Amino acid sequence: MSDIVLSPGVRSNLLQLQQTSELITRTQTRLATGKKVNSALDNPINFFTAQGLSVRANDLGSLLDAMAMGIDTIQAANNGITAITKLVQSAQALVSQANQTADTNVRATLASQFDALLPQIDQLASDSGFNGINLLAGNDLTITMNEDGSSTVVVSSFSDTANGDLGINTSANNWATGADIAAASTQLTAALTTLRSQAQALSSNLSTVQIRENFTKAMINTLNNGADSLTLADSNEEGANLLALQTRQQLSTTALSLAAQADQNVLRLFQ
Amino acid sequence: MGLKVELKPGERFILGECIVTNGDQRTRLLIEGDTPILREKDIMTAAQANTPAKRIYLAVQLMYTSRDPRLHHETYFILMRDLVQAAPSAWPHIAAVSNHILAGEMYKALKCAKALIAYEKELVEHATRGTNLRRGRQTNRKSA
Repeated sequence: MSDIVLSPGVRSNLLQLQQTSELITRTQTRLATGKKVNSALDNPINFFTAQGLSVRANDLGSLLDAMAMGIDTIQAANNGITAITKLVQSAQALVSQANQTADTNVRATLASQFDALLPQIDQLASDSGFNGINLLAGNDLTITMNEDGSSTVVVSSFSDTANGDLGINTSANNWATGADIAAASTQLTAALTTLRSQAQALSSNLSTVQIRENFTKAMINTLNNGADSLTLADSNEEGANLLALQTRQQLSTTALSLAAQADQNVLRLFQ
Repeated sequence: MGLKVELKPGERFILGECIVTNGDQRTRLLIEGDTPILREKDIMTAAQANTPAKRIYLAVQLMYTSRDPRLHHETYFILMRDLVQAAPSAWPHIAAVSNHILAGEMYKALKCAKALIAYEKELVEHATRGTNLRRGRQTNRKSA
């Protein structure tokens, strides 16, 4: 740099400019990261508060994933219950058909159709799992609601097989007597009631989890907002600051002296 | 190495302490030496300088065109400090201007000051347009 000769005036300002160069680097980092506070040294309180907020937002973000999975699991179970309800209803149709005939052969055929439906119910129940948890086959679902795990929602499982909670037995005596058919009918009605109450339990759990999911989403937004306003360089704010400065400068002596300096300069010839 | 200046009829420019006005035909000049040269389109008058960045441009221009730039340094630093406090993100532009002043490259400093004016315009437009970009980005943000 030996070819650059500094005039005395420029040299007198060298120190001042050198002091600003530190600020320049800091500002460049801010611009590169988009954040006003980048390290604990800039502003310790804001930095650690913002970092705490961001960390909490991230923790909650991973919980949100678990909640979404939980909701899917509950919905899978609910779909299973809906399908099982339809199967039980078609079993009811078979029973009422059997009631309308006295022909034992027809009754025996209907009874064997009825017996064929029951394994279908069992299979549906075992296929209603999601992500390894099947609420219809005895796997309880625990959803964690906060980052330290102190708040959880436990969705109790059912055992929706014909022999389990539903309590539907295979046809007795080929439905030869009216009493056999009546027994099957009673079991089916009870099974439907069980299914309805299970669906209600699931839907109340579902809305609990969904409410918590929305809350967590709002919480994450709030935390990120807080972190951002502490650390983000806000271009809107800067624009507003500039407008305010513009007004202030119009009233200040600096503008007047600037104009006076311009008047003493060659610039006056331009006016 | 000289500077080539091409002038339209009637166009003016500052050459040192003088104003040169072109006649009624196109002119091409080759100027050599170390005198301040400023074309008409690059000149900011005191009346035009109505924003913080334009005032900085005017201050730099005054340093460029006057015999003793020291007179204007104080004004420049006041203006610069105000602007940085208002808009910290304008630092890279101000840094560039300051570095050129430091190296005595006043014409380059003026060019950087011009970029600063453009940046200021951008920021002010942001604020006056009223579209809150930050808010927009936050609603679009997908939760993790």
